Amino acid sequence: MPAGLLAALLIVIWVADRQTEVLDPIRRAGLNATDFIFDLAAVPGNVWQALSEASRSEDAIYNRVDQLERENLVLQAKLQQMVALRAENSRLRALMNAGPRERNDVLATEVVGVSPNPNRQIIAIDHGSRDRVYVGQPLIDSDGLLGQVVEVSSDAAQVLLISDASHSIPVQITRNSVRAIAEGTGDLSRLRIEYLSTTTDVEIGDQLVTSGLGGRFPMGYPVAKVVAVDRTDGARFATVWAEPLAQLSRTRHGLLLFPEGTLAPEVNLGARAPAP
Amino acid sequence: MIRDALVVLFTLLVAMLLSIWTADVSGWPQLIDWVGLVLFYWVVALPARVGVTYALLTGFVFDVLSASPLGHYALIMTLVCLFGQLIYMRFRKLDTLSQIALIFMLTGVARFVDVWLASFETQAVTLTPPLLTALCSALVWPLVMQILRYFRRYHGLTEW
Repeated sequence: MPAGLLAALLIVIWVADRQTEVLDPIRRAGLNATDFIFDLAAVPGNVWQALSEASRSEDAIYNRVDQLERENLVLQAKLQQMVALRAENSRLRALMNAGPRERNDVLATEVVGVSPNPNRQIIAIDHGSRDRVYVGQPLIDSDGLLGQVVEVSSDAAQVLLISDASHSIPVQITRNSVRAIAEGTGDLSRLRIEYLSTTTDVEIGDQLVTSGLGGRFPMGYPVAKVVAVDRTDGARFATVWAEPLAQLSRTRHGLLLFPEGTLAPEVNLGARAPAP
Repeated sequence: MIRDALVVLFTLLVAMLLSIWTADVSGWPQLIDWVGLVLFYWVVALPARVGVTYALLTGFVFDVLSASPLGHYALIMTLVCLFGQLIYMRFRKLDTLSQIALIFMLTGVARFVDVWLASFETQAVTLTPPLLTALCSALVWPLVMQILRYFRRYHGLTEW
């Protein structure tokens, strides 16, 4: 086949996959067939981890268990308080004639690799459509929102991080409920907060949580913390920068959020997402 | 015949693993264009056997792994392959330094095409500067070539 014709054909395929959903089944089949590559790439890391765990002294393990037990105790205490707060919140919402707050089931998942794509920030996780993972599903870690699922195969999925330059997320400031859009910049430690006028009340240190607008991300999950506010005279919008709270570059474990009641209790280990 | 193909595919798989692994460890995806280098080596070493079919297969697999639209890396790998088939005779006669210079240009062009295609797909911000990829890939080329040459001779793969 002449080279020109081949290149033209590839461009047609490229445009078709970008603009339409015609090639989606082929892409999904490809994902299923190549799942094992991410698993293989994770082997050295897993072996290293196993070795370092095996070589850890008994004392260190006891200390770690001790520390985890203490952390668990503190969290249990907070949980007790939260149950009371949740009940109170429901009563107050009922008084205001507002509907009950949405809750989520969670599924723990492991990050198996980083996509080799130099233009997008994508990570691979080890759960797929077999575990009811779907495109658009939010992924969080213990500190905040990580991103959303963009590709799913039967046993794996790819997640676009919130810091990717093509990613935007509706947020609100916890202090005063001002709403804005947090856009990725391609830098793992920076988000740009869009559409805040120069007169808006926003300060360094403000916490941003998902606002729930748009319906993709449930409301109230921590996203980022404001680190810089620049109000130029005459400009319509302030330039606001925030730092993601989730460990975007280091996290090895994440939690997939499902609408409440999606997962059977034994699948999600009986866990409910921490109240936002 | 099938065994020979498996040998080539095995090295391409290792190159993909290295790509994922470098992206994870360094935080710079495509710091070294492992897949492009390995594919180019085989095209230059066995031009009659390794051609567009391998380039397309590698490219489509890389598209899936990197969540790019199908055809993105397939096009780039095909370009690398066609370029290799065009110049393999002259390339083999070059000394190491000239080979490094040529690899620098080739991977640089490949990455610029990559960034250019990506700019149509999303509001892409490339995480690894193309020239950095070109430089690092060119610098590791002699090593990649020696390892693959040893591997090829060990398995008795010849041109015809």
